[in-house]
Amino acid sequence: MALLKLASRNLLRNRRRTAITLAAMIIGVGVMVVLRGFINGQQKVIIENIIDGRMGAVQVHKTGYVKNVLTSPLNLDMADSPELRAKLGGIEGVEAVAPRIEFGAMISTPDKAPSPEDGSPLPDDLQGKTSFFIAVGVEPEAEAKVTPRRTALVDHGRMFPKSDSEELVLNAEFAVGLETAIHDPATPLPPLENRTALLASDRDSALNGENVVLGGTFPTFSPGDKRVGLVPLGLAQRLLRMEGRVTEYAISVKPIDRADEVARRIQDTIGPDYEVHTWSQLFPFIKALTGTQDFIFSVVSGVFLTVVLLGIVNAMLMSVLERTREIGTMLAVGMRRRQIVSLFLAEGLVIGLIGGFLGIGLGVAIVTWFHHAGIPLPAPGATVPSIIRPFVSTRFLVSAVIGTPLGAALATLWPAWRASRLRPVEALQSA
Amino acid sequence: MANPEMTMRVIALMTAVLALPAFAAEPTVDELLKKYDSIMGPTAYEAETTMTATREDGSVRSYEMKFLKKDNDKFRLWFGNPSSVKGQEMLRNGESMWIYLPNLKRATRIASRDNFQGGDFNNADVLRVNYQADYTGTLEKSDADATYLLVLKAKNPDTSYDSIRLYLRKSDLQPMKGQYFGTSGQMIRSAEFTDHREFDKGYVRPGKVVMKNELVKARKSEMVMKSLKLNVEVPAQRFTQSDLGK
Amino acid sequence: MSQFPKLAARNVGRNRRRSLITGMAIIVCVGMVVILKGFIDGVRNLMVADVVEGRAGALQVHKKGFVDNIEAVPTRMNIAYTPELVAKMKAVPGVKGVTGRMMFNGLIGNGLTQTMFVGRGLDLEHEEEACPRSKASVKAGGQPLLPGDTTHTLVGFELAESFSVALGKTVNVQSSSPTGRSNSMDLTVKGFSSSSFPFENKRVITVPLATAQELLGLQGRVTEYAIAVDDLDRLEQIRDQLRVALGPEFEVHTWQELNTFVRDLIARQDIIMAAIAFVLFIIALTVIGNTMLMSVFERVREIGTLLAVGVRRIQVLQLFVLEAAMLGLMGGFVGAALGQVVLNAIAAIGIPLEMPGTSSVALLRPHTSWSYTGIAVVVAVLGALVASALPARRASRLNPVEALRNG
Repeated sequence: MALLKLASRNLLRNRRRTAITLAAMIIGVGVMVVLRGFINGQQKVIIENIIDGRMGAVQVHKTGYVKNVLTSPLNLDMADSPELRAKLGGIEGVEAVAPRIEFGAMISTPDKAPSPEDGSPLPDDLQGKTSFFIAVGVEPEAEAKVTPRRTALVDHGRMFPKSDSEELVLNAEFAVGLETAIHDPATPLPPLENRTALLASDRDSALNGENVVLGGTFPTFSPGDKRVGLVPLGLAQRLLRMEGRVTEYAISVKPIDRADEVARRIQDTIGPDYEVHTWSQLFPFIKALTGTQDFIFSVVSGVFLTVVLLGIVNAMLMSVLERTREIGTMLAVGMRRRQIVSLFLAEGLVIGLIGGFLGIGLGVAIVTWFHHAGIPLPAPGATVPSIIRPFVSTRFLVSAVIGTPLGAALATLWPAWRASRLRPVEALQSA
Repeated sequence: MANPEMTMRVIALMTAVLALPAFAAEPTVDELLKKYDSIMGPTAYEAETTMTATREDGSVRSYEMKFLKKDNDKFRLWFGNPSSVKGQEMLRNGESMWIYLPNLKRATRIASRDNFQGGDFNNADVLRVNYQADYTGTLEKSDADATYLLVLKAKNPDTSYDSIRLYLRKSDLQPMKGQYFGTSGQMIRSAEFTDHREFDKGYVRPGKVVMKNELVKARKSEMVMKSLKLNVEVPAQRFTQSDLGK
Repeated sequence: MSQFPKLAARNVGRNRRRSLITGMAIIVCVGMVVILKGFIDGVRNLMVADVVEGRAGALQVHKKGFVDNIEAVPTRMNIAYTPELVAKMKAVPGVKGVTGRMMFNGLIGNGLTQTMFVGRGLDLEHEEEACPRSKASVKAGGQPLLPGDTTHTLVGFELAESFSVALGKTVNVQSSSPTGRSNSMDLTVKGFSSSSFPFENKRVITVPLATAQELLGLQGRVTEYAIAVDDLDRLEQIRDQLRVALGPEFEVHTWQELNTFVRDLIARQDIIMAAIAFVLFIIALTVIGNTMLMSVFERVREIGTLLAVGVRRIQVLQLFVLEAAMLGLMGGFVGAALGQVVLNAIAAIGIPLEMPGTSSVALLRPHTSWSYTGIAVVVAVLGALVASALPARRASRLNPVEALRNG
């Protein structure tokens, strides 16, 4: 303790140098904390958009569904029951369960004018449009608990409120191509001939159709969004003659980093008839991306640390040089070399502690402020800006708090050792 | 001639020649095509058929339908069975196609290139037969007994197949076998025409057509004609979108 | 005074320990900045190259209306693939390579069963001039498609697994022309393609362009052109010039317009990295500044002597600043050179990074341009100057008597 006090007093002797060194340290450490926070925030946004906006953290299918390429996916469906949902919901870590059916569908819009009575064809620009898309039948209440961002993404019109609604939600550009307008729920439904039809083949390839209206649209947010649409689950089940059946359960997990663990628990609970996957298994692209970013961060940290520690070495070396006479005196009056080393080490430690705490503190303050303010990222391709909320994990903070003073002390080792090697006679003579 | 035996033979021969039916001479390609179109796609008729589709997993699905055809480009069909398709109707008028689904309570457009209810006829197969207009043909030596082999080549790029080998029975020109090829020369489909019988006054045609998918051999579809009436008078109005569902 | 440079140099040389410490600081700082920039640039280039050289091409040309079209039959909007059109495109300054492609869909089967696929028909003679890394996504064990291949195909590896089709076996590929003509062909599987987008592994096949054209009855046609440029920074100008050269029947898009996700990601990273480099520079300045300060205060007695013998204050200032500049120059050069050496060494080995997208493993070869290195040296000199200015000024203000007494 006395050593630290002495060290502090020594540091204060050359205020300017200490100040500059501290400043460098504070900036360096602070920036690293902010950078890590920002990268975390950005990764979270990407993941959130995928997990909370589309996939869910964990998905359950009938065994063989994910790899299946050959048969209609509807053949690999599952019986949906309150018991099964309760079973899934009761597993530790599972927050909510949402049933879904994903299927290929055709949408057909009505002609803009009635067909001529004589049987001649309607001109092309008055004909209705037909197009294919991937439809996902969802239960809005359940879906909102598992993919809350999905509902938030519907920026025109609305997400259908109930599972037996007649509205569907399409990609905005797709809807433009179909030349369909959003239906205002306050107005009565258009007459049947003017309604859009949703057509699909059931698992036996028999065609069926349902009348629908466009309830809302969502913007293109990521690749592959254009040909995806949401339909009410009840409508889908009726359309596909699959009442009481689904093709997938999307499951939200709290906390999200426990997804692997929870996935295993789910698999153990429901048995081999089902297969359970986490979002990163279903979408490996993300892992590759975050891997690259983490790699960049480690390189950047390495460089920063080197420079900051260099600053400390530099400053310490200066200090030793400056106090050669003083060191000589200390040695001459019998102080042991080990004590000299400890003294300088202590100085380095004090700088590390103060600089580290202040730097981390500053970084955390900035991260926290931006966390609450949110950094909107303009995304000119999509019309929905994502908001980055930086954050740092406790683990990271702990390692920073421990590592910084340690690093500083380590950096001081060499100058301290040099100091202790001075010969008292020469030291006293010089300067 | 001096030899009475010879004379007898000549007279017998000449009588025999005179007694032969009108097309003892090889029929022309045009005649064959016309005959085929008249058998398989008469200008106006009403028919009841059953289509059965078999998939490679062994599953079998059967549909009962009623057909109505007028001119060469107006078709209408109603589905009767099974209950999943009962009440559905399809209409083709020229290039436009509609489907009526009872659930929809109205007709809606569809694309004509889809598979017909997931079977192996594509929609054009089933609903349009006009080989005279679409193909040119040559007669070749047939590798099947007592048949003419008519090799057809597409006249325009809009036909489903690039070339077709049609085997027609020599005795009555009924189609027996068909092979349908893509532009590369690979056989995409093959058909067998069997159960030839009279459906309407003087009108004989195959009662059963089995279409095999030559690329996925375990897939096939059968069309069984249950009844057919020719020259049905149908107002053009029945082939408009507004008539569907009535 | 013309003697100053010599004097400054001699001063620097004389006090080796001090110069070394300062010099070391500058060397390390500059070296680190160069290394960091090299890594950042390397990663960024890799990501851009993955998209531009591995998949899409820098620019794409389609029939007008193609990109917004929602119909399921992409082949209906096809365009001619002619030497004239290619020449027209190549005549635009900046265009380095042009190739045509056919995107289509159909059914793939192994005789026992059939399923839908999405196909890419590539002109193997020219694909590499537009997308030099398009072969990267072929899984080990298989071969990429080469010019001269006609009846070969690459199949997404999960699709191949489902069909139990091994390398060298045949698959049957069936499709229709835009007007409805059916056609089918048997193709030999030459390799499996792999991507980190699961859809592609389950559905995509790659065939030679001529094969696709024949299958679809679209000889001499393509659905798109992919174009490589010599300078990615001029991409938008080149795009605009192409638009003028080709006329209103066509539409031209940059890879960013077609790939907004990757574009936004890279843009964000660029901003962060610029900020990082700036902060690093500031920190480096403080280190150098500290050293300079120290150096001045060490030489108080020397300064006093100089002033006492009549050297003018301004000259003292100049002397110190010159020394700093020299240290900055030398340290900057050595640091930059060392940084480049380290970068080159790492680049020679390459750091394997898994690329999001093609899921191929690309080698990161950190690299930075000589111009950046030059800038780093200049900045080092400036930094040294700035850092030494204040202390030098203090030095020149010293009272000679006190200075001589102290120290």
